[in-house]
Amino acid sequence: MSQGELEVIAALQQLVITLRRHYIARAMLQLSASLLFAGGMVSIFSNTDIQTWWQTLSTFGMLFGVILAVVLLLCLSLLLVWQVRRRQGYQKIHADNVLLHLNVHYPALQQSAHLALQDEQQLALVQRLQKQQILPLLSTAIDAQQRTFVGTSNRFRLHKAAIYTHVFVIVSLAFVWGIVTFSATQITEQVLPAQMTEAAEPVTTPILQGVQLTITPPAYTQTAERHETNMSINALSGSRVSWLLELSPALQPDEKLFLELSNGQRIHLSEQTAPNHATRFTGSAVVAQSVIYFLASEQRRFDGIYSLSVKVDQPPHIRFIQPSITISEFASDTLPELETEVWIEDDFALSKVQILASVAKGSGEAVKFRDEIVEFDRHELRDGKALYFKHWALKELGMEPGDELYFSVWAWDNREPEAQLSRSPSKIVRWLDTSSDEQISAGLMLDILPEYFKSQRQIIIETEQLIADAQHVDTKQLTQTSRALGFAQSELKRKYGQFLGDEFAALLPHNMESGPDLSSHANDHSEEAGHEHLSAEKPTQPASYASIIEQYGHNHGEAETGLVNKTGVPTPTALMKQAIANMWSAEMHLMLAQPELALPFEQQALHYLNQAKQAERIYVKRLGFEPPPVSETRRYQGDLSDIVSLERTTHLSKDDQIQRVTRALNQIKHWQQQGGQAELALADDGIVGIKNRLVSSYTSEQNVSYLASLEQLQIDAKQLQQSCRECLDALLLAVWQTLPAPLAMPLSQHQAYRLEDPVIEAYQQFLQQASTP
Amino acid sequence: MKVVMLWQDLPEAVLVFCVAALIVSYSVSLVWATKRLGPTNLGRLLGVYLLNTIALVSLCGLLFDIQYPHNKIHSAILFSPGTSHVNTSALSEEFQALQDDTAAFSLVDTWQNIPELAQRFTAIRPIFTPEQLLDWLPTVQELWVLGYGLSAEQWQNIKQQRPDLIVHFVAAQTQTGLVDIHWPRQRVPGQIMRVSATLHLAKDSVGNSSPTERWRVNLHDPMGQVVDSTTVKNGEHFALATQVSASGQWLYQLSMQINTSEPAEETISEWLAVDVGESKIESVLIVQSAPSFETRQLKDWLSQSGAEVEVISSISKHALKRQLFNQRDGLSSRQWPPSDVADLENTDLILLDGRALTALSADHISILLDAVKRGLGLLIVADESLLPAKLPTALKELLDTFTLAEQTANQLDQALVATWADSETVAATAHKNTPSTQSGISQITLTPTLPSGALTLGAEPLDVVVSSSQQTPLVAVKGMGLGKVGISIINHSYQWHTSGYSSLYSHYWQTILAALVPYQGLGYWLKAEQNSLDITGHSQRLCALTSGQIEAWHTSSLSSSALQIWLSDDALQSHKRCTTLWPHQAGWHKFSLRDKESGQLIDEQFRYVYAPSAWQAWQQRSAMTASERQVGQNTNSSFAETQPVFIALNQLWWWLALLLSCSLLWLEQKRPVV
Repeated sequence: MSQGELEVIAALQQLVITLRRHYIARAMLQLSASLLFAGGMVSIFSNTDIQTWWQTLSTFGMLFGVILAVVLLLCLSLLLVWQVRRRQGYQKIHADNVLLHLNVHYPALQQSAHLALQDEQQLALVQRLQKQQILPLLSTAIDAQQRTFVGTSNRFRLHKAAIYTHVFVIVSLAFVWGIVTFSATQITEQVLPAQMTEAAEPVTTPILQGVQLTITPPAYTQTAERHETNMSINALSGSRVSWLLELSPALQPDEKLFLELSNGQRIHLSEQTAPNHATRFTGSAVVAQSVIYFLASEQRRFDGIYSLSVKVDQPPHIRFIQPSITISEFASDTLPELETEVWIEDDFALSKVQILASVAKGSGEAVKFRDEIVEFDRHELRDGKALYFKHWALKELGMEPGDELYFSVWAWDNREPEAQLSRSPSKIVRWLDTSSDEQISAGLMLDILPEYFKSQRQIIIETEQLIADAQHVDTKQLTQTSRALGFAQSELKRKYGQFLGDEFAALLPHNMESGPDLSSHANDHSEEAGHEHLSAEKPTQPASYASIIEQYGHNHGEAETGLVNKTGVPTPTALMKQAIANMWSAEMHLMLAQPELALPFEQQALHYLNQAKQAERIYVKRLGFEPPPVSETRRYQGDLSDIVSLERTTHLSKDDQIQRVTRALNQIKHWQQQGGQAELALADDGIVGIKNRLVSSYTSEQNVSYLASLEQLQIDAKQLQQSCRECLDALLLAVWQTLPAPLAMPLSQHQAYRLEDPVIEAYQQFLQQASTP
Repeated sequence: MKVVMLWQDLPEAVLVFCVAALIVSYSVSLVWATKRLGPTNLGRLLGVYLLNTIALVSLCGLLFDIQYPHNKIHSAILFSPGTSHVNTSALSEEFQALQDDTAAFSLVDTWQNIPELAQRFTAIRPIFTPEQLLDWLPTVQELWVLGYGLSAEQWQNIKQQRPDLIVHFVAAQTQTGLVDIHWPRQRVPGQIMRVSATLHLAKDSVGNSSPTERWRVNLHDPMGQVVDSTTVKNGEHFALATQVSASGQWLYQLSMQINTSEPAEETISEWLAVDVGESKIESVLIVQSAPSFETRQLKDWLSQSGAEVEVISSISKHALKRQLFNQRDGLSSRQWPPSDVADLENTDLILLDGRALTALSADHISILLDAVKRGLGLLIVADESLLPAKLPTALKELLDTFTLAEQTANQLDQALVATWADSETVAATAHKNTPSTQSGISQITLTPTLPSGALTLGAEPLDVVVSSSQQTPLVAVKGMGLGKVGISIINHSYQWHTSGYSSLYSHYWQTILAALVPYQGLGYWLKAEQNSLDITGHSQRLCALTSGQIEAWHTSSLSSSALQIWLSDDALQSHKRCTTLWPHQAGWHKFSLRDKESGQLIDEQFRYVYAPSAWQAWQQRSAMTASERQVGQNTNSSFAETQPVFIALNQLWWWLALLLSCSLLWLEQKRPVV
């Protein structure tokens, strides 16, 4: 081959190389732009926060990540180049195709460029001549093509294309990112409820990894501290509660956490660094009231509502074992000594116990009182109960017959800083002076010495006391006490029954609480009535004056005598009968040692007794005065000139507070029945109504769990339903039980026909005609 | 033999043309064949004739539906729900005599649990509704139903198409549960909800149910508390009651378990859906000769419920004091005494005492009577002025069926106990369990006592609404025309309210007003039957009584949008309009009536639709009862004898014959003629 031919061939080969390189460059540009766009879209719409993840890496991790990324990019690039070289388009770039391309684009070559690669020995003469002719032209064409692809302008165009492409891709990604972020922000703002704090972001799932609470009771309780892993706890008032919370490191830097209490208090948590790169927060506070609280920071609030139920230290409880009755009496000729046994208990310990005694001497306006503070003789622990004993000798107190002693037990517990005081009911000890009781008046005005018996109110008090103490006494004692009350009830019942002419021939009592003595009406009748009287039973006790009256007075044996029945007003007789009927039931239950069942009947009996007293007082007709009957002709002849208007219009608003609460309950129940998956939107007035009913019906200790459930219900009802369905059911039941007894509403009759129906109208006309004579 | 042309709906000209073309083409083909084959290929020619004829006949067989009579009894078997609980040993000989190729259909797939049936009937066709059986087998004459049977509605659909169908029923063992249940679906706050049912115990493996085993049935309120309970035996009917308190749509619960001291292993429970809605009386007029505590408390109770109340009291011979509460817009105080019936048009109830009534003139009394006959409710609180000796003549018509007399002296001291419908239930549940109540003290029985009045009342037993414990009438109501007249000798019921027994007091007046006052609104939904059960996929009928242009809307619990439903007029009652729905969703469904022009809500009713899995024992019992009723009709039916049925020839053979003949003809044509 000649030198020219070699040069042309070399130039052709160089052109082929250039073309291939250009091809690879363009392919790589397309691929890189595509990869950049795809990677950017994935990053924008991915759920993982790449930036956050990047920040969680350590320095070594970042370096390793960078090196790994570079290596991966290099490998990817080589792989892509290898892939591009395998493409058909790349394979087509060879000398023959280039010559064909030149033949097409350079007519001067006369379609003979391919002759340049053929051996002259194999060419014909014409072909050789043609070859010699076109070689210079071919060289020129190759040079021209080379300049086209290698020239500065082309490189610049390629670079410009690369720049423009990548800039366009980046701008597009930024645009997409902006749209997504802006939309997410708007959605977030619409979803956020109004009651969130101002600085709070949407509620996020708490990332509590560890919880440890330490409850340290007050020192005076001498109770050891305890540890809890549950955020909802019970504690004694005055305890110090320490929180140790371990959260995942996915917190924002410098995020300050605190516990927000429902009473407005904030417990700030201090941050500590844990060995495993977790973050710990600690805080403590002394608790004095039941609250609900949650974990939050200035930026956001974490899920979860927790309750802190605080139990208050109760004051000491005092119960008299002896004497069991309120008033103890000693006759003048007996030994006035009394044993007192008291049971005192407290949550923790007692600090001081003493007796406050008052001695009353004299009577009438000359009575004098002397107060003393007396200590118990001894105390002992029996079956885990602290019993205090005191022996009273009235003579040693300087008392004489006719004097009275009042004493009560005062006990202080050991609460700090201020102890709590409890006082027992007062007991009365009477040293009777019976010398004045022997006066018997010949007349009808008798100095009746009241014989004490338990009044109905006293029976109720002692029954309530027995019910309260039922858990602390054994069965035998409970039965004995209950039966004693039953006997007292029976006694009272019999005595009241005498008013109604019962067959019990017992003494007629006089009790201060039973109202005026009805038998005193017998005093108004003269002895000349000449009635035969039933002989009364011979009195067996000195105070049987009523039987004397019954025997010699004008007691006709009917309690109704002298009582006037006003039409429409329940008579005392009827009310007394109702009272006695309830006393029967109360007595039965007391005899059966069921004081809790007897108490309602006792209360009913007292209610009827009070009504009888009122009826008796108000509606006793005055004798001797008969007002003239009202004549219809004289009725309604008053002067009405002072009345300005005879019409008045009033609008009474319906109190629908109960309805709001029931509507909210109904809504929650419906939501539960539908599976509890949908969103629950309760009206604010319903929530407020529920809260008000809980606060007004339950103690703060009971309310803590209910309010916590209510708060959680407002925030995330689905989560409450899933995590603690029992809590929600308990809340609903608690609110339901606060609803008042059902009040019936006016009801009209829904008939199965309309009055305008022609058939009904015809029937109505028929009825009219039939009724017309 | 019966021949029916398939396309007989085509015009006659087309049919004639087609037939003519068929005949002509047949003839022409024969002629051509003759020309082609000629007398030299006689055998072949005859073959072509034969094939052509077969092709023509086959074509006719395809075009015409040829049916032939058949006297064989066609039986079918239907496996209904519960087939797996069928005791196969109880299958009768007649069933055993059925052929294995008897058509079998299944509403459920549990029949496979019975190996005897699964092995015997292998080609069982599943169907979704029983009516599909007739589509598959229109000639069925005898139907064997196994399982719990079909509901009355399903039998009605089948019998409409085949009234002469003979039914045999093999019942399955039913589940333990409650049957024959009645409870009111719609209530008003304060009303008593009484649920009655019968306990049904499933039989054991030997077919015996325990006759002495007692079960405890509890009625729970919507929050799960037990409000009433009883113990019953198998087949025993019982009733439980409670007073509904809160308005809304609530699910009460009936639970039952074996009555033992130990905790029961199995508890069966069902939900009782009750819609507690608001109700009120629109307008009440109280006319009294003197102010009284009774009317004051009544006025307070009525006005707090939103009713318009007007109280007219005589304060002088010729002066009346008027008090108007909750006056409705556009209405002024009434004219009293009324000069025309129209003056009392907007009044639902008038309450008068005796003196106020006797103070009316004869004309006014006549107007009052007229208004009552047109639908007004009238309650008279009797006093001495209404005693027969003092009664004006004009009032005799009003009070002719009531007898008033003076109370005897020895009865005056007696306190009487008033009783009315459900008063004991209200009194027994007057105290609710609250946290402040001591444990164990949950109920106090109230006794609605009153002082004995100065009068006694005599009335027809059916008219008595409130009576004393001695069965003497205290309040009686009788119909007069379209309205009601009531008379009461109780004028101290306010004492119950002032004594703290407001629930008793309000229930007392609710009972009286319900007996006196008819509803006069624009329209209302009729209440659901107490023994009805709405289940998804089953029809549900709703009716309303309306007097104007109204629209009906339906909203289900799972969707917030309302759909309009169309009511059609009832054939008998002009103001009654009904519709039938097939609800697909379980849960509460709201039905509203609205005024067409203004869109104002007239009435609203909620109904609960149960899932098919609810009230299984009840559904089974109802289906079995309906199926047994169908069996009972067999013996009385006049169509018990089988009748010939026509069966269509299978057209597959015609098609095969046509295909074969045409194929042979084509082959023949391909063969060269020698």
